[in-house]
Amino acid sequence: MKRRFLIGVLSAAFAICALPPAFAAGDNGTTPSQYSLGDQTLSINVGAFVPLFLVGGSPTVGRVNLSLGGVGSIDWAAYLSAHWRIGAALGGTFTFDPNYTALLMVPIIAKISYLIDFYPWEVPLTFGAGMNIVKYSADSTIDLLLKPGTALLWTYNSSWSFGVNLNWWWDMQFTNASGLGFVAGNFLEVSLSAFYHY
Amino acid sequence: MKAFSRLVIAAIGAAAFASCTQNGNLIYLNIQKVTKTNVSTSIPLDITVSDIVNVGADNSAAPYYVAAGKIYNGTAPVGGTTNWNAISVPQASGKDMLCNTLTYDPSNHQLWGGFFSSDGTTYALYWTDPRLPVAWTKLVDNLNPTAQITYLNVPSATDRRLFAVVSWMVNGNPVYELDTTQSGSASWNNTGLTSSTKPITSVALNGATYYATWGNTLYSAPASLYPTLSFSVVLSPGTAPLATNPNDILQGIFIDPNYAAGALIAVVASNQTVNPAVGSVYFSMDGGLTWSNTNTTASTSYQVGFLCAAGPVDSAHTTYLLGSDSGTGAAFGFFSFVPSSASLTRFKGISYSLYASAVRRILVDQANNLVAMGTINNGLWVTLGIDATGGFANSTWTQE
Repeated sequence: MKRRFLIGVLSAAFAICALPPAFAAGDNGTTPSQYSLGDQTLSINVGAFVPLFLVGGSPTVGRVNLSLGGVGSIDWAAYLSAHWRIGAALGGTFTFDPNYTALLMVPIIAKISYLIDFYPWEVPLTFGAGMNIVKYSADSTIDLLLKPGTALLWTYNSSWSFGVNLNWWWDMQFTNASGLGFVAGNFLEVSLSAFYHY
Repeated sequence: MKAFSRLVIAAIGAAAFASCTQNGNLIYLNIQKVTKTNVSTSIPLDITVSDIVNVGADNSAAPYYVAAGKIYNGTAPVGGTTNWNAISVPQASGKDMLCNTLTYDPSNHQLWGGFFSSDGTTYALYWTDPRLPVAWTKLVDNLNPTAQITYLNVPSATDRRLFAVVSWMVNGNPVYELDTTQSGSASWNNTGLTSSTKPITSVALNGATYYATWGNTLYSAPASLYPTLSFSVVLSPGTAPLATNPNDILQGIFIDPNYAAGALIAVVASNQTVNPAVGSVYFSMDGGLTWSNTNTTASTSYQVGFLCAAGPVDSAHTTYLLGSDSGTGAAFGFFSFVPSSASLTRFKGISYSLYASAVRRILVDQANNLVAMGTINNGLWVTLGIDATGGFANSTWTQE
């Protein structure tokens, strides 16, 4: 019963999201993007932060030994054209080691996105890069963070979009020790997003 | 686009220089080594331990006593664990008194405790015989009845002097005094070390010489005099053989009487007045004739003071342990200390919260292959299996 109920709720939610927004009634789905150079967005994102694996070290690919955590961020972006926008993001994450000591991250990154529209849906393909301030126990570092990702956004009206983000975190820590070069933590961000366009 | 590329370039630069931790390790590799800590709840996990005593053969089944308000008695390791239980304590006005210092006199089989009532009105010395069921006997003494006993020590089983640091308030400021007596005697003598504001933190015996730490100064006195002692300056600010920092508070003196080339003396210091994160270790390897000092900045990128010393952890008497202070906001667990190279190395057990604790007391029991660490606000930690390197990288610790 529970599974049927869940499927029903998700299907209904998907069907509602698939409806064209009020201001787009009558559109046949080929309407060009309503945004252009000078338009800006602010978005807030909250979701789950999934530790995946480490690259580098010994073994070359190893477990990251962290729990499921949380992630949140505030993003700003400006449109360069109907399909391109650049911006910046400030975020925060938390995960825990087996003794519940928190690994905290505060990334500050620059982002560039290519937008694919199929109205009322929008799929931005995003690449972000920047610094990631990492704190664990008494230690802290500033890492290089590379963050490719995508999202599925539903346009509610000209001011608001809502959707789901899927971002890969490639967080690199460099060292001269033992010829390692670097160790990269790999994480998956799955978050809900609310976009405000202005 | 320019701003974007500049931010990326700045991030790469910052990461290249700052993505290592202070000890050169990488956070992800540290986390990879973390294993679940064994936790025993027999002692509150967030408690501050103020003293640890080993009575050895006088209670071989349960030789360890920990002062942490209550007194906890720990068993010798059986089946890879130790068990800890609170024991009865003296009472004042119908309530259990609190204990902040312990020492053991093996010649008289007396476990001494400094107690005070929870309302701060009653202070007293009690002893019990650890060979027998706990039964505290109050010492009727001539100590200041309004003074708290902040430190107790019987440095020598043969000299049998019991030392006590007592402290009381005058016009809102603490006064400290070092008193001594023949162990078990009610008659105490002032050693002449009396100070306002500067704490007297420890006494130790090296051969025929007593040492005492008071504020930024180390004193010595020949043990031959009795009942009084006559202390003179060994280390102090601006004084040979080695000047201490004027703002140091010498947190304790530790002596290894079995050091091969004459007694080793290590004094741990914490520069608490100016910056608690900066401290030095003052040490002598020739019985106090010549002195050296080092600090964490000389061996690591940390800056931290120290609260105690113990050891050795190896049969060659080369490696000792130092408990770190809490520094400015962060604590750093403990360090291994090799006097011959004046090197300090931080505890390698990143997976334990002991790694980031201030360690106030350390007990090394070679007979039972046990090390116990008493922390500030993070309870008591025990490992079975002494690592002779002092790093304890592969040791399993239990938070008791």
